[in-house]
Amino acid sequence: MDIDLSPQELEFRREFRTWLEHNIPENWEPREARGQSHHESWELRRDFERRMGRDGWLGVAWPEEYGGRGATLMEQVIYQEELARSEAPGLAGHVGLQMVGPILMEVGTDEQRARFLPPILRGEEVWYQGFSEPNAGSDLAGLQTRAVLDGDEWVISGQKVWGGFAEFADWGAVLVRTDPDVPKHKGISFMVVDMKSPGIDISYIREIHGGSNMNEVFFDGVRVPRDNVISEINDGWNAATRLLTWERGVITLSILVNHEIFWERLREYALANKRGGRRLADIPHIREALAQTYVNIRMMKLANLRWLAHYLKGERPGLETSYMKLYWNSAHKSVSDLALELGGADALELPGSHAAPEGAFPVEWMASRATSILGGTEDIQRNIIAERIYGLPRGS
Amino acid sequence: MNLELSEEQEQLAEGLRELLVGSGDIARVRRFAYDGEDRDGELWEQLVTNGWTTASILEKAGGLGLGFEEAMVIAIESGRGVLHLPLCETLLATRVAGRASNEAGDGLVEKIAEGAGVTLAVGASAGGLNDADDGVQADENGQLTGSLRSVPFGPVAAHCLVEATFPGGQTGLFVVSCEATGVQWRMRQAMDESVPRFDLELRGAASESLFGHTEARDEVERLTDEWRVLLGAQTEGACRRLVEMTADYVKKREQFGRPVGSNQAVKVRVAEMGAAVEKMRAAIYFAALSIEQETEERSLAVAMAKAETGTPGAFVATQAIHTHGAIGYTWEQDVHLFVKRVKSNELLLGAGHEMLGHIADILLDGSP
Ligand SMILES: Cc1cc2nc3c(=O)[nH]c(=O)nc-3n(C[C@H](O)[C@H](O)[C@H](O)COP(=O)(O)OP(=O)(O)OC[C@H]3O[C@@H](n4cnc5c(N)ncnc54)[C@H](O)[C@@H]3O)c2cc1C
Repeated sequence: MDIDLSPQELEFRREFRTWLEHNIPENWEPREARGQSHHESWELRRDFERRMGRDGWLGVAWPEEYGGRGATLMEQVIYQEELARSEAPGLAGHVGLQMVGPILMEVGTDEQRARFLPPILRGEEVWYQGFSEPNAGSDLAGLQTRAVLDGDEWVISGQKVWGGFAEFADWGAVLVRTDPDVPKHKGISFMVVDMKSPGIDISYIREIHGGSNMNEVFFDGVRVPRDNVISEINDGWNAATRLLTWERGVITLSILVNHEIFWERLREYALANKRGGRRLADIPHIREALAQTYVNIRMMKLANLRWLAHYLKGERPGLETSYMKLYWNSAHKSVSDLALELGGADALELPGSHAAPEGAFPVEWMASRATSILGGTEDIQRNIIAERIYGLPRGS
Repeated sequence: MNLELSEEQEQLAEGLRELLVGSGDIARVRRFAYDGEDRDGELWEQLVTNGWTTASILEKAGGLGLGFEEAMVIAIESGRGVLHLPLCETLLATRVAGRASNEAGDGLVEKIAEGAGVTLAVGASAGGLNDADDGVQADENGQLTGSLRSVPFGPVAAHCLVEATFPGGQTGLFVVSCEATGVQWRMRQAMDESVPRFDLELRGAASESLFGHTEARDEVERLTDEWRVLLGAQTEGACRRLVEMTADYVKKREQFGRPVGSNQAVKVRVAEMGAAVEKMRAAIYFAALSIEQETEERSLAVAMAKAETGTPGAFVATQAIHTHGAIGYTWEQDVHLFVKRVKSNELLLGAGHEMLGHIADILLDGSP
């Protein structure tokens, strides 16, 4: 066993870190941006992403033949860590970069690759992920948005919900039902939809913290060229779930650096602030809570690194990503619970309040409530562990 | 970067598992440890002949020359089989004796190479076994007097490493023969009968000192840290087996005309047990690595491993009993053998809250 980085990996980190130091826009306020809506800083984010594309820092994981850097998995993790550590603007193009790109490389046609891959890599075209529906959440395969073939075009009608960036997106990666007469998993296709098409109507959903980063998207007779199907017709479920698993693996590997940074802020806060005349860092239950939270985050990281060792040997992320999801939720919730406890009454103030020591505390707390839901709920992950890892009977 | 076992380490684990299962597995533990049959000399002999007790001895001295990661692997399997013999303690004693690199150390290693088992009476001054211990003092001639409580295995082993103070008050570590004059063992009635525990009374017992006045303290601390990791590793092995036993049971046991494991409430328990065990595995790997590579994070890594196997270990144990229903509460079912080991390991050498306190000291005050 060994947990050191290789010289090449250290060099990769140094290079990207230096690039970020010189290229993150000066007027970017990361802490204020948490909880704001994307459109409030859209132009700035857009420019930053194009700059990343220009200098070859998008799609680092993509193979060189498609214009990427062919970064190793470890480098991908380092890349995500550095992005988080620098508090750079979150990438609007992540659906294209992490999902659509890889799936096109695997099952797309040459024409699809030539058309869609280069603009993703340049940071020019943004993608929207249209999977969930009002009546298809955990039971995603029960989705009802229909696509019917009419001559050389598919005609799509239905509704998607919860995906983000729909209003800015050039393209949508949308799961639709193409055969209603077969078992539900077997009649789903994966389609590319031009998001500026007639018949698409987009609205915002206001989230718990007041910002609006999720959309409702209505499709009313939207026409899509016949060739815009990714993979085979009715094979959309396989393609989508494989990618969701992959996403859960690599993303949770890197997401925890956000929690590490946040924990460090809590530590500083506890050392610098008092309650009832006592330094927070001297109050026994707060000391223990800080230690326990640190252990949660560190353990999540170590567990992930252990699985990373398997991926580095070429295994694909699998059922263990369900464990990763459970650890992530408990780490995220515990660190943000602790933030409110440390801040006390002041931690109940929103960003911008004159009394807020750290306006980000309650925003982080609210945002962390979603971790057990998004990307497949915690209950669904537990079902997967019990049924597919330990073989307990399905049903009921 | 590679936080996973190598193929050789996997094979090592399989080898010990096969030996323990082949020897009768849990039925044997019951026979010797719980039903009070005589000392299990036969299994110890097998462990010796197959090189398990000498695993940590250097190759040139007749051992397998394996490192601490391998000791951890062995500890996991010994927990999985609730082994009732002082294998882990002997490996730890080998390592510390090897580091002494003097006559006393070499002598002990030689005896281990010949098949002797060793146990450990350390930890009092390292916040370990029991604060109520009176402690042991060494006189100028190296004769030990005093008492230490709750020493695992006691006279089941041939030798014992005893933590005692030099006449000047400094910590020392001494080798004592378990049957020597002036050495008395009084058996306790330990909850985990697979690890019989003894109070040790010394009255002028002859000993050999492993370290000088200045080095022994660090060595005892290091030994205690290594011991914590192996206790955690045993817990992981025992807990992993408990989850497997539980999953098997709830698949077979039927109520309301279907397996109880088809109820979601039961699935949640099993999934949470599994999640706890996978995290334990990562925790002990990291701690073992920090010891193997002598990193600065050793103290933190060990405390995290002990905390992460402590309270979560007790959680897995409790869930295992619950999901078995009343049968899990009986002597007849095997669950309790593992539960008792796990609960005992949680409390020995620092329970979860104590470890968290230690972690807080490191993180907030910058000192252990
Ligand atoms: C912040 C955020 C971002 C998101 N981003 C996207 C996105 O980009 N694209 C996209 O397509 N979707 C996205 N989603 C949607 C997400 O995938 C769904 O919310 C999720 O799959 C759960 O579906 P649901 O909300 O309909 O809840 P439901 O499925 O209705 O579940 C309600 C409750 O019932 C429980 N439940 C349901 N079925 C079971 C079962 N079989 N056993 C036990 N409990 C069960 C659930 O765990 C939950 O607690 C996002 C959601 C959030 C919160």
